[in-house]
Amino acid sequence: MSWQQSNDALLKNMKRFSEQFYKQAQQCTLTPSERTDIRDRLVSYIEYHPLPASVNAAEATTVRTHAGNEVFYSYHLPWSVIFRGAIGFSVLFLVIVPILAERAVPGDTLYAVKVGLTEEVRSTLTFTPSQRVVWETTRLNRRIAEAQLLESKGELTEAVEADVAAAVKAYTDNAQREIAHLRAVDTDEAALVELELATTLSVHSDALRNRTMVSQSNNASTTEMTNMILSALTEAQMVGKDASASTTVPSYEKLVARVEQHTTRLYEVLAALEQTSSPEELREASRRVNDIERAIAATFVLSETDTPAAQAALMAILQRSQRLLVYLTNLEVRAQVTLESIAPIDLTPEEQVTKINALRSTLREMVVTLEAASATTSPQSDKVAFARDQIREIEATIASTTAGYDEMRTIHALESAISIAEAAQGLLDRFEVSAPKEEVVGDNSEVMTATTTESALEVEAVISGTDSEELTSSSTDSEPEDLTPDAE
Amino acid sequence: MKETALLRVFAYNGFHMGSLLHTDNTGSQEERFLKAFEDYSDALFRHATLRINNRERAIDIVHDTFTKVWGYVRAGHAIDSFRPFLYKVLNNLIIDEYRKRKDVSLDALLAEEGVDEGSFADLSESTVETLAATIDGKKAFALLDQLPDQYKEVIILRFVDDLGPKEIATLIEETENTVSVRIHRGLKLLRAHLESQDELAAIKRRTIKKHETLQ
Repeated sequence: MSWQQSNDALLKNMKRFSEQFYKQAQQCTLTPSERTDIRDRLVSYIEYHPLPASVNAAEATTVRTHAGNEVFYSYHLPWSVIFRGAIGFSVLFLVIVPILAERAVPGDTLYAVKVGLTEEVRSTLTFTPSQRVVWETTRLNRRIAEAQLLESKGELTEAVEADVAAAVKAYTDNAQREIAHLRAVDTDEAALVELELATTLSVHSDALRNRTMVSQSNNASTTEMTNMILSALTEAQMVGKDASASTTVPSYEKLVARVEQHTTRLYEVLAALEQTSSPEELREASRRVNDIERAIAATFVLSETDTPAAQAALMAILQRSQRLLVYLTNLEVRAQVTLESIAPIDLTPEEQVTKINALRSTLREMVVTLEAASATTSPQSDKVAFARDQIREIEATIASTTAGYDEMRTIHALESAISIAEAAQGLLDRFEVSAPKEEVVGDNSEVMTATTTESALEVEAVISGTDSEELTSSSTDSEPEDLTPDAE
Repeated sequence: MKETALLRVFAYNGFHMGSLLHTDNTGSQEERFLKAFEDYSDALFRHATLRINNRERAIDIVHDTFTKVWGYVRAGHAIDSFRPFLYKVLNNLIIDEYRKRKDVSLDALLAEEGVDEGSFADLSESTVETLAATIDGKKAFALLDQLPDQYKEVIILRFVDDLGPKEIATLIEETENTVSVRIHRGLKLLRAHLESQDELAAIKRRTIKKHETLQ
């Protein structure tokens, strides 16, 4: 009890010391005038030494204030900071992200932005049916390019392939719909954009078809995948052909204007290619552009006498220039087909004469060989003689109809004659090679029979212009003895 | 003064609610600064007056304290709580004031003591309070000037400014133990002064009584 009392007394005394000490100290204080004086001096000091604007804004953003609410606190944000932030976000989402998304391929995070936002916004910025068709064609190019890029990396899945095929169908449907609308208003423009769309589809399907043929022997699965896109493109082409059955030829002026646009674009593309392409590629592309320019000049001359013919020629030029544009502006197309297959060289008159002479010379040499072979008593001599006769007929036709044959038709005729001669020569070569083998092998008579039969049929096919496969299926069983004397 | 247009944005306070309730971050920088003046100018003045014993000089030091703090704010530094920062600046200015006078050297005072302040590791706050309980606060306050400044400083901070040992340790950049030792010693000195004063008074009373008896 005594301890409790002493403890209480101690606490009381402790408290008393603090209170007494504090009470005494409180007597020392500023007078109101002193306080006002210091405050005024400080306010003046602040006014003469204000906060820098940057510090004011930055500090204001970090100052947290007690809002008088127990659940929330508040920030004081300057409007300038808010505006700057809004501008920053706008730049990020409207410029930077779409730019980054442009490189996205199916499966990337930003691909949805590319297809669902950027491309849709660009779609809304097309104001005429003609622009919409051009844009749908561009989208088509982009989808196919993405599929090819993924395939080159080995990342193309069946689902993506199906999506691309569906997109191809959707874009071509859209384009066809716009063309139908345009046709009701401006038939000339409709015909022009339809021609461009059809040409683009044709180039892509040619490229894919070529790729399919090449890869058939290498990778069956890849072939199967590209077939999905190819079939979509083929279907789109068929729809386009049906729709354009009644299309009229555009007016001469519109055709000239569109050709002018194409050539301008071609020169721009050529200038861009100077940075990236090899000199060889550049020379090839320049050659095609020069061909087009020459064809245009010829068309201008033709238009003075025969406007419908000039219009038809301009349509052909448009097709060529569009094919060339699609080829040059699509890397995946360039990777799969040669420029010659997309846009063959248009020879100048001098080149045509030179080529005709060269072809004639080649043909003459081959005919001499064939005549020598046909003079023998070998079993294949009658086939060779048949080929030789065909070649002579062609030569006679060329010689007798000089007025109706222009240089290009002569070249085509000579080329077909040479192909006949080559096939016959091939037949001779095979027989010469297979004969000694037959002596050694002896028991492989059936195999040799089939081989020689096919060779003979190829010659017949070339000469008669029919497919050798068709002939194989129809005549292999019926006339094996006549065509395979060596096997016997 | 240039005004900045501000938008007040409310956000969930979360776990920081408790600490925010004790902060004085309200309004613009200027408003917060002047509010700090209203809140702490008296306490700072009192502290400075008790330390340097010169009212006019204390007013100047308080003014200088606030101008220095404003300069710190202008330099772009953020101040979460003004009170400890103001005391820190004030304390530095008081030390400068001592150095100007040159008649009192803190280092010399420490040397005179000749005791390692870290040797009182077991000294606790309750011991200090027990010692304080034996002292008359009113009389002790009157004898404050007789203490060396290192003791006067901690006793003023503890019993006038009502800061805890930890806050004082942060302010004067010493350990908490050192602060407790200094408070303890300061109180002991005050009590010794009081006892000698009482003894002197008793001697004086006895002398007067003796004189009266002789007469």
